[in-house]
Amino acid sequence: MERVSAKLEENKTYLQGQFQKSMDFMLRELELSGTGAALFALDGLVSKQTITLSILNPLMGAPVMPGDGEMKLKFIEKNVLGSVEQKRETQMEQVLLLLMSGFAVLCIDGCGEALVFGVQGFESRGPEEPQNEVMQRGAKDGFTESYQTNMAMIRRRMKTTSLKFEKAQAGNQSHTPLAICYLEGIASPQVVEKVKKRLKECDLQTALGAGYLAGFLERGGSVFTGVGMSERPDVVCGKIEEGRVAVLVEGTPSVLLVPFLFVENFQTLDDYLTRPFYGTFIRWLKYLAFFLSAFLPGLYVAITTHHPELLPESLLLKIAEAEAQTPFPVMAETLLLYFLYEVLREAGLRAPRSLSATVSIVGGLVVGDTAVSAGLVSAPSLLVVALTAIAGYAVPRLYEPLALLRLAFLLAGNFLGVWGVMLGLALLLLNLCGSESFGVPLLSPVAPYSGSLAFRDVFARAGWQKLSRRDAKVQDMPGSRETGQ
Amino acid sequence: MAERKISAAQFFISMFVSRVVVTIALNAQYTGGENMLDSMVSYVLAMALGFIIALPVWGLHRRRPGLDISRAAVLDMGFAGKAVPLLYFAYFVVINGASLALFQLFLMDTINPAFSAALVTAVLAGAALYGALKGIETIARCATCVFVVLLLGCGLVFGIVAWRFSPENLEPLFYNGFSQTYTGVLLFIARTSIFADMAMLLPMVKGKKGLGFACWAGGTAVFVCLLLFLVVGCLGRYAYTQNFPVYALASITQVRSMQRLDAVFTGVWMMGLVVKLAFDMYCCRLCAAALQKEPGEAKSGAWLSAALMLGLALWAAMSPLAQRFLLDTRILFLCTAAAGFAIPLLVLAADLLSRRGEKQTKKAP
Repeated sequence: MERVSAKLEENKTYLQGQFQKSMDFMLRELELSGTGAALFALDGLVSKQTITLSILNPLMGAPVMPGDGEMKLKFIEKNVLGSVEQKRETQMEQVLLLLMSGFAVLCIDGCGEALVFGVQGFESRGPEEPQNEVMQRGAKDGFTESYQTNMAMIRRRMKTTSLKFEKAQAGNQSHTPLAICYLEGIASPQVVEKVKKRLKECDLQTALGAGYLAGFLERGGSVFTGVGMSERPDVVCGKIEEGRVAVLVEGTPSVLLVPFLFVENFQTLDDYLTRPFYGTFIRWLKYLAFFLSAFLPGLYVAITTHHPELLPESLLLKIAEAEAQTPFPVMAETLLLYFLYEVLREAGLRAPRSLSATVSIVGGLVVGDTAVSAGLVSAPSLLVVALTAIAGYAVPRLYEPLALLRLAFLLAGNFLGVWGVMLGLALLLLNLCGSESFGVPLLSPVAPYSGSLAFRDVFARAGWQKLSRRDAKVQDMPGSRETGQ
Repeated sequence: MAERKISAAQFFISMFVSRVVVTIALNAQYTGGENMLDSMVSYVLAMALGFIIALPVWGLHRRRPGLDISRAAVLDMGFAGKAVPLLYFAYFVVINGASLALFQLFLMDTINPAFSAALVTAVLAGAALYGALKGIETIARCATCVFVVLLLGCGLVFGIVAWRFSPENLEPLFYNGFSQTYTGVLLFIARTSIFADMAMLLPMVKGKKGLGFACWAGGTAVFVCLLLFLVVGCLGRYAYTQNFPVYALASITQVRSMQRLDAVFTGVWMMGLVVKLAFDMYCCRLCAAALQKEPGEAKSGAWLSAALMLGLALWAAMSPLAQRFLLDTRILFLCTAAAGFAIPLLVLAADLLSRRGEKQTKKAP
């Protein structure tokens, strides 16, 4: 590993060599009481104003400094510069990393150490309400791309010394800084160690988003994820308080949360900000929406194709009448509508904002009106797909697995009728029951069952008198392999 | 194989689900007569007898709490003991092959779907295999969920069908003598694999197992009696002409726009069957593991058992001769008596002798 040289020329040559062909590399040569010095920084990452006011001006206006480079550095550190974030570095690799993180580096001839200053000045977005986790009553701020700002947002809500932020890094090329956040004494030490170990083992070149790391934190082939994500500091604080570990990733507003249970997909902050009975009602509405979204197309195809006797006569007649006017079988029709809906959704999501309204209107009109009136698809099929889509958005965290499950149940229902859907459900249940997130069963506290926990925050949302008791640490869930402290 | 334990509640709930699956496939032909109410007495007697049958299994478990019967046999009987895991493997294949065959026959004869019934059975066996490969904890957790579905499903059907109950349909007990009661006892014991399951899985169960077994016996007795009472009370003599009277009961239920609840019946049966098969395929894994020289996962045991169960079921569905053997109450009774009573008794005796021998060797100068 290269060390910082005592010769200024060698340091200059080294850094210039490293940043060869990089126009953002800045070098400002100085003379400090007869000794050569140089200040290095990367344009765009630092604030030129801060450098001028906090570093260059004090250095230029400093009194005559005594002794050699070593003594001058010590003098500057103690008497000249007043930067809050300032430290010595001896390793060039570290100096490079700090330069690329928005630090300025001062090297003085005759001194084998460099002085680094935190003068970050890159543009960043301010905290805004997250678009993916909209709340009715919660706070209106969300995480930003700067993990330091995010740390501050968590700290502001949890003023306790038990709150720890441990430094980590991911990506062999990007060296993306991470912060592992947890409450000491609440989070399971085993889980914290496991998170650190898995992050250390992740063999990524670049980590451009939290999703890059989620795959490395998970184990096993579960349909549903065992790693949660949130863009809301209040949600993350709530999770940390229950013993979870959060991973903040520089450059992304999404924070990873582990262990993450299946029932958490149905929980939103709004549930806890309303009265318990309404929170419980909303929770059940979301469970129903999940079942509708996953099973409705499959059951519709299975029943209309193989078991029409299950339907009441009047409903059966209406469906039969509508289907008689379309050229495709129910399966093809539903599949077509489903794909069309997914294409429209994707187009609406990816199209430029000015066009997305047009896409929605054209899509809605073409699919909703023209296709039915032209007799290409039936109104009941359209209704089923539309209901499914809307129900899916009631549990947005589950959208991805639901999109694929829907398709699987649709095919199972077509080929094996209601029994195909039932068998699919059995397989899904086995998959869910066999999955774990950091040693905690994904379906806990339902299977394995704990009545007190299940009726605390799963089947019912208990009042705050009950919820505030600290007896629901995630690692203490039934069947958990990780023990609490 | 990772040593994970399940609770006594999980184990006996799973066994309850397995029992229900077997019970809903009952018919007058199997119970040996037209008076199905006699079968209620048969079931209670079978459960009482079950406590006696289970004694060797309990005895062995008390002496070797950490070992399943196949490992205990290999340890106590040496090379000859390897016959025990083989016999248990065969037993599980036969008993589950019979359950699967019944389901296949139900699909072919009663439902007659437009698609291949064999495909449904194959997918069902595949789902059970997936569970067996995932492990005992997975199956036990899934069984708890299925248990809730089962209670809801049965509650729905029972609740709706209760309106059709007519006391005139009930006939006096022992109207045709006691022979049907005797046949019923044989049938219920023959189709009970809990003794073999306990012999294999009790070491993996923690908690109050004795209480669990008593609750299981009592709970299944209540369920079976209620089911038979409703079948007879609602269907009358029509029940005796049906191959699957519980299905017939479900298919006539209708309340306003809700009709034909046979889909609920079939769904409950299938999900329960997945649990039952998965548990027993897992037992086959344990048997295969006991036969291995080195301790290991023995996943091949589950694969092989799944293939054999499916093959047996499909063969039975096609061949009346195979059906006669596979679904014969006396043959199944002999198999269950051997796996649930005789073999555990033999292994228990071998264990007593080998330990006595060990003690004498230690005492000898």
